[in-house]
Amino acid sequence: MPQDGGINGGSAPLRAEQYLAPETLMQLAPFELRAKAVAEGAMNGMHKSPRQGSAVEFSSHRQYAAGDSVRHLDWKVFGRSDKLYVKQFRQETNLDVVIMVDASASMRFGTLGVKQGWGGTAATKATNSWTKFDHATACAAAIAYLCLTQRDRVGVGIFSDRLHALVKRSSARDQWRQIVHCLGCAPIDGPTDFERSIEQVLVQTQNRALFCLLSDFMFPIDSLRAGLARLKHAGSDAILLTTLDRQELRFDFHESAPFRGLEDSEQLEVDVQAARHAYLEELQTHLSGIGRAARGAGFDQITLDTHESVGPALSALLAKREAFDRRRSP
Amino acid sequence: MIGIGSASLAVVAATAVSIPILIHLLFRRRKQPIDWPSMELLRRAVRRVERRRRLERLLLLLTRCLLVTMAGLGIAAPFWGTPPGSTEHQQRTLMLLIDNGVASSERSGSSTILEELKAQARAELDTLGPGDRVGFVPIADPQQGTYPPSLDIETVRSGITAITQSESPTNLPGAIRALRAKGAFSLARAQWKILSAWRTGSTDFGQSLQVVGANNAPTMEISKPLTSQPINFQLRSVATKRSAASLREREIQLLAQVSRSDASATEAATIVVQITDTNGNEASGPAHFNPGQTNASASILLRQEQAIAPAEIGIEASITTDDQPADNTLHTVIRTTNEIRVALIDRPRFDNVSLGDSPASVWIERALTPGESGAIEVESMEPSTLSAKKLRPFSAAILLRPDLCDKGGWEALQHFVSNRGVLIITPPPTVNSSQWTKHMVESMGLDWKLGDQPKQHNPATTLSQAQPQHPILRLIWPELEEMAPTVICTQQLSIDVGSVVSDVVLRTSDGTPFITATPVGSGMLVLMSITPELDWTNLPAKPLMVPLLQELVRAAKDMVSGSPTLSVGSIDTHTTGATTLIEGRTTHQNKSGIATPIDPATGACPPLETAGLYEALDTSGRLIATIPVAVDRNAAAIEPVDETQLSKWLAPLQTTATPNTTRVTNTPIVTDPTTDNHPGKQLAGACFILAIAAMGIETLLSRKYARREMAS
Repeated sequence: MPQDGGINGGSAPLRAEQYLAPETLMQLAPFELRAKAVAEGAMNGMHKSPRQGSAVEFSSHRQYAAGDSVRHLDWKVFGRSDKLYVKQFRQETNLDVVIMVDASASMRFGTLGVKQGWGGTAATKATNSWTKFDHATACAAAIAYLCLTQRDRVGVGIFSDRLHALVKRSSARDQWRQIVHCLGCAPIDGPTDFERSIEQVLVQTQNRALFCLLSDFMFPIDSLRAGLARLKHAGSDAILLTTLDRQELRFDFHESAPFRGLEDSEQLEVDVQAARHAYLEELQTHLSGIGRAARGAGFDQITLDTHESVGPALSALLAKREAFDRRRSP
Repeated sequence: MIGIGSASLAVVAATAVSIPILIHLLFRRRKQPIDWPSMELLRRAVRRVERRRRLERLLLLLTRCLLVTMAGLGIAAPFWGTPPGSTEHQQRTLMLLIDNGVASSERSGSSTILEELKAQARAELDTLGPGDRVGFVPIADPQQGTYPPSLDIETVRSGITAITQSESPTNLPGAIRALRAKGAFSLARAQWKILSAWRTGSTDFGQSLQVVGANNAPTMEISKPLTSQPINFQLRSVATKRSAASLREREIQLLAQVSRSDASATEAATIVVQITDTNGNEASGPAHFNPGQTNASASILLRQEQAIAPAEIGIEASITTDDQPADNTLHTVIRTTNEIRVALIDRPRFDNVSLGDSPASVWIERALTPGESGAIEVESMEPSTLSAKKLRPFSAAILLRPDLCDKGGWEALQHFVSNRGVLIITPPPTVNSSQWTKHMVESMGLDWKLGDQPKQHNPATTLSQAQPQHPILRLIWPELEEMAPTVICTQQLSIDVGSVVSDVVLRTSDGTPFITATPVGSGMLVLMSITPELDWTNLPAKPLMVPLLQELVRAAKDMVSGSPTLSVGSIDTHTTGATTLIEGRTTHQNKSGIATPIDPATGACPPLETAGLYEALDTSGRLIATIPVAVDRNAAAIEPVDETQLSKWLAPLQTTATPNTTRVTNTPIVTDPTTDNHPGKQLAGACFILAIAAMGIETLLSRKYARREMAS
């Protein structure tokens, strides 16, 4: 069963500030993470609620019916047209955000050196390099911070072949530290079972939420499509952040060598010169499949290169979502 | 022997050698495996690459194979179907059926048809290459001469050159039968050609080729029939004239029958018949042909230096040379005997009667012995005293009173006839026929039906002008046409011979048989429907009486006592008791003298291949008979055949006619080796073009694949 809270395992306490670079904060400061769908928060917030209530934002008129409170009668309309209309207001609420980070063995891959001042993860310790999990952790920390500043509730789930850890959603003051602690201490191993992990996290999440899925998505597209379908069915929104190393994206090898799988022990002798073109085609096909699966469910998807900063990519995503929100509600 | 020093030196050397190997192994660069997250994508990529590479390699391999194959074919194409050393030829199997039958001995310029056919066959051989097979069959001797297809063309050429002119008939059905028996019909891709002039003698339209299995034969190519009209005289027969040669005579009167072809019948002609006998005597006589006449005879008196001994004289007759020499010579045997003794079986008469009332016996005796020095001696015999012993000295018996014969008498007569005797029966003048005809028919085993009463003719009938040409009267055939109608018949015995019309010797103008004859055992029975008396017929008073009776006795005697003239190709000598047949010993030419075995029981022998006189000897070397063998006159006929009829006859062979005639052109159909129309050469060009195209494709593909490898 997923455990709430950190799984540090008794190691030295983490310094949460080391997981969020100041330049990232600077780049994200102008943006808000907006929910595309209506949110079902418990408190007042900046996100649209499905419920009509006593909010300040006028929604629409409807004809008066017996039993309606006369407090909501629009007397100005009655004065002009001698008809009884009731004013309706949309309630605004806060947003539940669940950040799901893939901690399967394939996320342990990285070809960039560890960044200066980085707090480190289990992957960092194992490979002494900037792994995909490190990049996903940095991204998750930034998103969590952004959401908490918006008074949204944020939680984190760590998954591979199942849901390993889940930090419950909260907008409390030290929620960000708990999240960072969970990410910094998560073990990176095992294969990926996305569908099962989504099932498990949905059991823990009662109401609608925004799921930020950070993974390399190196598993069959059908499994991804099935997981996303479950999220869609639950009425939740999702953002897919495909995290890949630059070497994965470019396959820039010069000498043939045996390749060994991180999630399986199979070894494959590859003529890199001959296979590069075909590999890139396969990768492109796979990424297109991820994009199609996300769009099919109505979710956003971006690809993150671990050799680049988190800020610009996230900024672009947030800007895109804000633009969408503005188009929907002028 | 290896010492300690040597061993230590070997260890040092081995160590020294192993140092670089160890260095190589120690410093060998080991590639560290790369941990990779997206192995599934990489695996798929590698599979795609391998698949594509396999396809590319296969494509390259096919292109290179095509290149090499086309280049090889291009080099080899000009020599296709040609053995080493030859430049232009296609392999084939050729079977030649060459007509060497007697008809092909026809003269053609200075040569013969057979020589032309052989030249044509050799010309066919010139079209063959060393890889081809050829065989041939002389059609007249298919059993002996079948030469199976062989690669040795020169030997076959020698064999064709050595084909000799056969005097046997052309035997195409026999050749077909022999080839089928030897499995020649199953020869794959064999080309069959029948080389023949297709003259009348070459064909036997009476024998269906389909019956001999020719309908299973492969398609055959036939030479075109010769259509020229030949000039041919044919010596048909030579025989003694009127009476048999006698010991008392020193001359033999011979009659030679000569015929000629229609082409030469427009003008008058005279042909001289030359006679040579085995005693060395020679004689000759002319046969005159009037315009339009196709048959003529020559009377020849053959004088003997000494009185003729009772023996057989071999005769070789010949006429002047014409287009067909094979039928210009004829061999026959004349048997010189003592007088022919004839028993006249009748009741003795003691009264003198006038000429007009003379009984039949008087007329017959006068007819048989017209002069004092006749060759026939007549003795009277009482019918009631007939016995086999009494009849034994006689060659012929004339029974004038069959009604008086008892059972023993008929048995004696039957024994007489069965042992080479000639029995002539006339009905009794006044007695009912039923009293004796039943005995006669039963004892002789006849199928004839005889009337009970003489048939009366009122008005009287005459003998027919057109008489059946029965061989017993062949010497008087020319006279019959003139003499027969003068004979009047007022009554006669009714004779019904059924379907055996060949038994009728003479007949009346209403078609009733006048005289009939049939073999009985080894002898012959002649039945006259009239009693030679003037009450029945005026025959006794007519000129026909004497030659008629003479021939009935003499010719019948010859027919039953001597060996018949055989045809070339015969396999039966008709002679029993002989074991050996020797050719030519009785002739003055004394030919080969080759001995041929005879089955003494049946007289069967191997096919007689040449015409001439043969001696049949028994085991002790005693002469049994002299056998003349002559060329079959019908097989030697060289008149043109009707091409439609020939095509119909050859239809079972699915033949196709060649444009060539049998007249040899001396222009052998040989492919000119300098010509450049060999299909292989044209193919070579195409092969080289394809090879160049394959080379271009291979270069393009290699470069494309290499470039892509480098790019990736």
